[in-house]
Amino acid sequence: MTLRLTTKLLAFTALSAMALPAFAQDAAAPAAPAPRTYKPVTNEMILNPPPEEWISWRRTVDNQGYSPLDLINKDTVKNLELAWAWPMAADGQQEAAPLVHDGMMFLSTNQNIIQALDAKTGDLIWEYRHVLPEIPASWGYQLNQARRQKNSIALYDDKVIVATADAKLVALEAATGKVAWETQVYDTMKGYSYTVGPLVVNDKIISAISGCSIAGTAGGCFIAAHDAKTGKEIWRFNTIDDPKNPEQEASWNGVPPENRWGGTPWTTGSYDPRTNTTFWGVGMPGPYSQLIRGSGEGPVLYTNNTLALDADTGERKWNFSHLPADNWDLDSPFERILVDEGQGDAAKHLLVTVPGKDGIAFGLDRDTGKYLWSRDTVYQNVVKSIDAEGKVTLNSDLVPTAVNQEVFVCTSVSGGKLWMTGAYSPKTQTYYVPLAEACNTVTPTVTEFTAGNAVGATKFGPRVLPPNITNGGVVEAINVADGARKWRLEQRPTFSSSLLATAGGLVFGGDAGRFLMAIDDETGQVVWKTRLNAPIGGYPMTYEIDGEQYLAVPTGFSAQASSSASMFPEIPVPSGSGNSLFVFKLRNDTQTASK
Amino acid sequence: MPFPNKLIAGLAALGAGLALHGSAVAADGHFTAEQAARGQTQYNSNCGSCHGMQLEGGVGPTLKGTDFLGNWGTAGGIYDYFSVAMPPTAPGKLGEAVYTDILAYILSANGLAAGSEELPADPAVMNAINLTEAAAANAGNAAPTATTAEAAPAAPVPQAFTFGKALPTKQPDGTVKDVTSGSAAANP
Repeated sequence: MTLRLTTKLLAFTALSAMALPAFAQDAAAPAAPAPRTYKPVTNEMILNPPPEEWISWRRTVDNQGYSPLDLINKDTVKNLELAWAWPMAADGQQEAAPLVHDGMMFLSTNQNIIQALDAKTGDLIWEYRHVLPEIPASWGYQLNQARRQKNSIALYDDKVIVATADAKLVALEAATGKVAWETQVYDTMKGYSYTVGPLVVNDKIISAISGCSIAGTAGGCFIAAHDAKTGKEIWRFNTIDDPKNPEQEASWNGVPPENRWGGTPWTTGSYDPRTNTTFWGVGMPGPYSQLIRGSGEGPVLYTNNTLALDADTGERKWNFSHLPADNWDLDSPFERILVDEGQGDAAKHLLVTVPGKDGIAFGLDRDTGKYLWSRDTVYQNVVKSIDAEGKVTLNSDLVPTAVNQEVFVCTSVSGGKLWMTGAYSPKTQTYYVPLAEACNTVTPTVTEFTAGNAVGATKFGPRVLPPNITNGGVVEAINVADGARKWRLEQRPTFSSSLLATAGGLVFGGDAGRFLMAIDDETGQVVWKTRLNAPIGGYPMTYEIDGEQYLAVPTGFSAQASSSASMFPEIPVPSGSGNSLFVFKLRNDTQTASK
Repeated sequence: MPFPNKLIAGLAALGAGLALHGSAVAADGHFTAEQAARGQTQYNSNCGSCHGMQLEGGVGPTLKGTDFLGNWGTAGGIYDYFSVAMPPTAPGKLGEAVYTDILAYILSANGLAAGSEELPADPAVMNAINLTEAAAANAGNAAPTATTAEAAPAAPVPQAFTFGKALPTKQPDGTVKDVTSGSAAANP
């Protein structure tokens, strides 16, 4: 049930083209490309990747999004020029996370189209097009899932591991794009779909399913581990129904599992080999309002929590609640970054995160789940206080007590913080986070749920700036030791991409106004920028081949740009989606490594 | 027990028949066919490239169906949002008349019938157009004709724990009354 565009087919197409009169005078047909070898990705390599490569979603499985490459640095960045560019195969939200290993770039786009490109030249090596099932046109929410696929692949051994919008895990041969195996993990006709890629460690694929706010998925949302060689399931953890934990069961205040939704862990988790623990963020509960949910003030575990699970068994080690009893769709699944602060035996083992749309930054002890610090970044009015133990007290004025009661909430359903991922530099011991100032009205409604659609039962007003604030776009530099702000970059257009930190002292990212920027990691000054075709998106990343450092940057449609466009009307968002990849490198004559 | 679609459709039909009584306002007849036609031209020009020429969705979400109607609750809910935030190339810049015409087209495309008077850009009028009711009627109507989809899921769609129970509900006059969730009066 899959289509592939192999090199053979490409060769055939080329030959067909040569038969046309316009090409008749061309010389002999090009020689068939030699079969490509591929160096397998080992478990050890995943834990300690070669400096010149980017083999996992955030390069390392601590989710730092940091590269030790430094040829592109504060001095040389001005010499960046285009090496090659590439149009992406599908439109929709630009959330692509390119990976590079052994000279090949693996690019996953919406609709689960996977391409392998020569990372140096931009030539296509193979393409895999996953065939998604036909879904009824009325299943609006579910239809959209294939249009917002993020960081959708992982490399393991000689395979590319793909988690698909129809809830399958597929292993492709990295050298050819041929399907090695595939397995249907969940019933997609209930609403399940993968929207985030897996973490692969110790021969296990650890993945999380999405779509758990779709009506048919009531009662189950999962993190699971599969054997990376065979696709066989090893364990499964339900984020909204954990009979092993009475506190979890009580937290829904009598709402039975068949009327619980949400808890989607829609950001790829991190992994600590020291303790063999995997860390995942969990999304909001459904319906969004406790009034409609029927759960009263219950904290509805494990929604909006950090979960620490044993990677071998899926047993829960600890959980921490960042936003209990959410009433505003301010879900908290975003990146959990593992950081060691200090050296040797005295090192503190931290988990740092801006987990939720409300933009509050947290530091936890990742071995125990103990709360260390927290701080507001952007303006928010939903959390009143967080005590010394990390217990969160909500602003009860903003909890609707009647259907149709409108409340004005900051941040908004589209963030605050969103999927666009921050990066950590071990050089500066700083966590860099893209954020937005935003508010919206939230009104609980009553709806009859329909197949393929979400159970939010909430009406949201347009996204607006908070009172007395004119700059919606924010990048914060957060000291991981205590959460203090080192610097803050503000501008009117919102930031629309994830960030990349490098040993060159630069933080790369971009905005809804189409500017790609290099930011000084110590001062927050923009030291270089260039304007591309569309909002900067996805996950900018970097790699090195033959002594040259490359910077790869996705651009394209951004729901964040579109939903915030009224905040900066002087900079119109383009009509076209333009999903593309731009790859830069330093001009040859400016590099000592080459002529 | 959740209310079956048919019962809701029945309630909606009853509501439509008794349009002049009580708070159940009929969803039909709030715009003219000419206005919806003007709105279609504007929609195709300003909205269709993202939301689809049949409102089926593209990079932007679908603007059709029970989920869309239910999410916004009233025509005023849609207007409040899109007249400020859309289109991303010129948010809030199309002018009151154009937004109102496009709204008439969106209502028309969602199965609401045209009437003899144009939809005015008046919040009170727009807020009184109950889309939840229209959505329920659509859901009821859609069932017998949904044979184009392969096999309609046999299992009933799970509903909220509070569905069919009384919930405090804010009324247009600001008072709060207990209203049975899922009944047409729940989203006045």
